[in-house]
Amino acid sequence: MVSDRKLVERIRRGELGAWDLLAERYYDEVFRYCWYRTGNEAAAADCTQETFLHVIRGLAGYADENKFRAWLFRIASNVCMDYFRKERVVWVGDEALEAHGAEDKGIGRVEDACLVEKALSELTQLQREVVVLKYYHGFKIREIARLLGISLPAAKARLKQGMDRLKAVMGREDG
Amino acid sequence: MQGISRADEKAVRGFLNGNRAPETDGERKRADLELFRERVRRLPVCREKSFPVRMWEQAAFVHPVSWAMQIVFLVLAVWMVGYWGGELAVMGISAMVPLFAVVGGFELSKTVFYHMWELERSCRYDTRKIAAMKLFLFGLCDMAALAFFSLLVYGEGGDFVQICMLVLVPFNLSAGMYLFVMERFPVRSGNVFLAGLGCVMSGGQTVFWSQWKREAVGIDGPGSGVILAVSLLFLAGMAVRFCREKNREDEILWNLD
Repeated sequence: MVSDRKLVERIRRGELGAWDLLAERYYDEVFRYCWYRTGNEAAAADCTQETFLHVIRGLAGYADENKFRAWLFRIASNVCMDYFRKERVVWVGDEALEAHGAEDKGIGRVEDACLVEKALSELTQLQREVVVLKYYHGFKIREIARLLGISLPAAKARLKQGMDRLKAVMGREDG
Repeated sequence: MQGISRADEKAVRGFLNGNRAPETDGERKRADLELFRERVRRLPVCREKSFPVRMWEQAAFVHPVSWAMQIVFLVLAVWMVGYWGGELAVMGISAMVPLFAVVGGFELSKTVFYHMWELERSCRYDTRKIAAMKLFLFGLCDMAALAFFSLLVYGEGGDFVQICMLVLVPFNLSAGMYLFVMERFPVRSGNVFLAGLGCVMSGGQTVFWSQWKREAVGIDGPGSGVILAVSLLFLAGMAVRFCREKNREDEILWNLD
């Protein structure tokens, strides 16, 4: 399989076919990531498109050729954050809401979601992001820290908090 | 990981596996990929050209004086054969070979002596590739010229041993020496320096020729073949060394950082 680095080099030289390979390789994965982040299919599709458009714009200045996948996910992460800001999506797990209780606020997405989605919805955005990158996309905790621009202890702490919340939900459901 | 047991991790992983993302919408994906292609097509990138095309374009940047000098040497060789003939013509050609080799050196030295590599890299080309193209270009022309010189020497009664020892080996050694000097002392290797070195080597070759007694040095056909092969290896080694030369600050295309 041709490496990402080689493909990026070839794209810079104007090989359109190399871009097709790269886009095909990551489109579905980025879509899944955006879906896990947003929990909404249409939003995930929009974020995926936006992510790739950002990638294309950034290709000329992209220097760290060995870590294309991490760079791609960093962009996807930022795009999802922008989506939350623009759409004013409020997460059940955010501290302010948590204090008042999600169900009381009648947020439809939580009620309709399946159990896991509900559990994920109870995480803060940052906790959810770390959990999704680690368990759905196989990134190491050190890579996640670099990707999100946070310290390693901070990434570990978020993962731990996220896991604790998920376990709590699992326990609640079992009980 | 500290604070998270393997059992917890396994349980959470299993729990999360119960929720898989839906498949992408095929129609939407196709439309997106088409949109991306369109955007990528508009990227201001350097279109890839084949090596022969780039080499042909590179030839246009070789100074006309360099081509003219090569032609002058060819004409001079013909004149020596016509006017002097015999051993004197062979000696003249033999002494001329190191000077002939220096013509390519003038072009190659531009990259290092005038710091042209900065400009070359700013155009998103690897300097090593440019050096390799110039070497290849001059290599082709020199091969043709050497074949011509060899024919002239052969016409004047020279045999394989003489062609090797008086034309091909001196050319390989002198060209290899120029490359070595350019790689080792890039700041000094201007035209005057290279021309001076060429004159010294030409003089050395004349002295060698005047002392040339095949029987005395005992070089036969296979022996001269071995010497020719060694000199070729020397030239090839110097050419690779020259192309790989590291004394240009960095190995990257700096304008892409």
